[in-house]
Amino acid sequence: MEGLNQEEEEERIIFDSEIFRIVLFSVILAWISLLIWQASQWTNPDDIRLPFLVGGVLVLLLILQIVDDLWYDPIPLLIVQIRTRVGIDKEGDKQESQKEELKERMNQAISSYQSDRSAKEKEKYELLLLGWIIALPFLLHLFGFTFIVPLYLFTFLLFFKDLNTAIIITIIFNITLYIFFIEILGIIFWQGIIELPWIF
Amino acid sequence: MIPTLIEVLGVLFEPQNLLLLFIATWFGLIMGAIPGLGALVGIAILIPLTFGMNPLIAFMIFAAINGGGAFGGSLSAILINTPGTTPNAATLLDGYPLSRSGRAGEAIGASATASALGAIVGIIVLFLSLPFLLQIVLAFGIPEVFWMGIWGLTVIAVITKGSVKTGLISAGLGAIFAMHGVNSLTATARWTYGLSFMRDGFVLVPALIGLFALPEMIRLISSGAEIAQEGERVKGGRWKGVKSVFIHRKVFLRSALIGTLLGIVPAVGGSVATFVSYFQAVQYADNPDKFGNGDIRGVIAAEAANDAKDGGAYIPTLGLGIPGSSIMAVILGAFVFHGMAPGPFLLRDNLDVVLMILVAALFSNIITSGTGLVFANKITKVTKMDPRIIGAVVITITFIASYASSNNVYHMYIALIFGLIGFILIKLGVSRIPLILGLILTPIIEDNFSRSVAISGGDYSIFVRSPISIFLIFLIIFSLIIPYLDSIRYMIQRRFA
Repeated sequence: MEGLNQEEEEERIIFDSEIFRIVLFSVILAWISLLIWQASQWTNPDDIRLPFLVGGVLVLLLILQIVDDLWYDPIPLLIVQIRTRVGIDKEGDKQESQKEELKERMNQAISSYQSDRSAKEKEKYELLLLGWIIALPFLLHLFGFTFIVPLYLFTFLLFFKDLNTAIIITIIFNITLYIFFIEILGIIFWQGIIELPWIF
Repeated sequence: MIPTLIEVLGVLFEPQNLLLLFIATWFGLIMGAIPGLGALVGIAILIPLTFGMNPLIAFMIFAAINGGGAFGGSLSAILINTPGTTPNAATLLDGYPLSRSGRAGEAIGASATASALGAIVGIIVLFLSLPFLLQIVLAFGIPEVFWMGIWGLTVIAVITKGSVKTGLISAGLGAIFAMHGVNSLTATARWTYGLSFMRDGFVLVPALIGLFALPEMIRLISSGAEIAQEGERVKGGRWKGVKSVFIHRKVFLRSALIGTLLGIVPAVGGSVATFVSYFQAVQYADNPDKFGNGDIRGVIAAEAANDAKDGGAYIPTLGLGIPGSSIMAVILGAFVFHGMAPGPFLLRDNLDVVLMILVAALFSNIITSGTGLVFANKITKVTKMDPRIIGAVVITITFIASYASSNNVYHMYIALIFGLIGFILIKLGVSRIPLILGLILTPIIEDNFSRSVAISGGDYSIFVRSPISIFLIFLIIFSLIIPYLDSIRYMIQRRFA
């Protein structure tokens, strides 16, 4: 039962699924088609030429890609061939097995620092982080840098780490920000659409 | 070229610029040492902050960060068994076992020396190729620049990670994004969606920052990887490591040349260069059994190639406007930001900047190796930083830098959009380099196409008149066919078998 649950859980990873790819490529195809249709309304040939050419090729490629994802792309990649050929020796050769072992260690070294969470857990964090990242520019636009930068950093670190780290890093970062961006570079930060009289 | 070089050296050796060189190199070293970060993110974020700076100084900083980052990753690989960047994975195979057996100093000494000397080999090849490149560039006219742009997009799309189709899709998307906004030739507003701020289109620098910095931070934080591992300490033996590079000079020279040559191939990247070099060292070794268990030759081979590849990668980047790696794609974006058009004319019109990149890369590699030799233990302490702290800071700086590039609040949304695009592309297994190259090269392609047609009075034969144009057309077709050559050969063999 545990094994079955694990399989079901893996199947529900959104970003690595075939359906995700197909839907995404389809959305891109629809968007490009819309752009080409809009371009057909323009009158100047210098405006239309390249958009039509690029858009047309792109539509064709996207259709081929969607078809491939629905079935299977059997044509091997050049760079995969080069990478494969580099390490290949005669079968059964002692050097070949040593190379395979070294390659495996290298791949493990790369993947171990890239993730030590399960795929599902990693995906949850990714979605969470996407939410945090999407919120920031909107908050900066609405309330301004002076208010949002320290608040965002503090709450982010409070959420993902702990209170002490949040306080220390927020203070250090904002002092550095003030010295480097405002004093040295002379940047005037956006103060926001919504003014906050109780801060200033 | 020599008078310009002397002038550039004069600028470099001004006290304040020398200090900046050191700071930028150390910044790159630290960025490279922190696993998952790398010099690329550092350069992308700093580009908008160099606005108003003398381009010579700006590119000195970028080249220094790149030089520092290449070696920084090897310190983490050797001392804490975690590669700072993916190309350093080959260094880890023998570097960490050496550390575990109490020979960390020797490994660091060999790594530092192979890095510095490897970089010198790469830069010498670059310097020697400049006169030839200059001659080639002088033969380029407007139609030839058009075809060079098309070939640049095509070859990157074909060679880069992922399938040919996805590479071309990425390049096509970049081209489409580049065509948003007011057309500089006709002053027509294209695809602005009725928004006034879209008249500028998708501005390059915020797009670049978003595309590279934000997805990397998502990856860094969501991986949950504990960078803060207890590592080995460097106690002594550094000088023995330095000498080992000269003892195994054949390994070093072969690896440096492999790294340089592979660096020249667009979009091949550091991983392939170090991978190929390492396994060539194994193949040519008299006693290959020790490789992977603490053979100093493994460290020398990997590090020599890792740093030599940058010299090679600068050749197509600076000479032809085709990036040799993802960092080179970001540097091309920096050229556009500073008002210089990447492509063949860069050498002709901005030789001083090109030479500054060369000398800054040379000196930064020497500085970084010297710093690494002396302060290796202290530098690896930065790897104990929590990725959540690094991620929070970098995400915040990303949007600040996007805004600061031209004090335009809407540029933050461009960074966000491209950050999301970059994240999705990674999930789809599609490379981001063709997309950014499409953003960079499409205005150049479109401009040169229109100018060619205008010059010829509407006669399209201008595009096939010169031998260079025909050669470039042939290269474009060949680039598209290469991935399928094996399949074609197989089908022919089957047909006639």
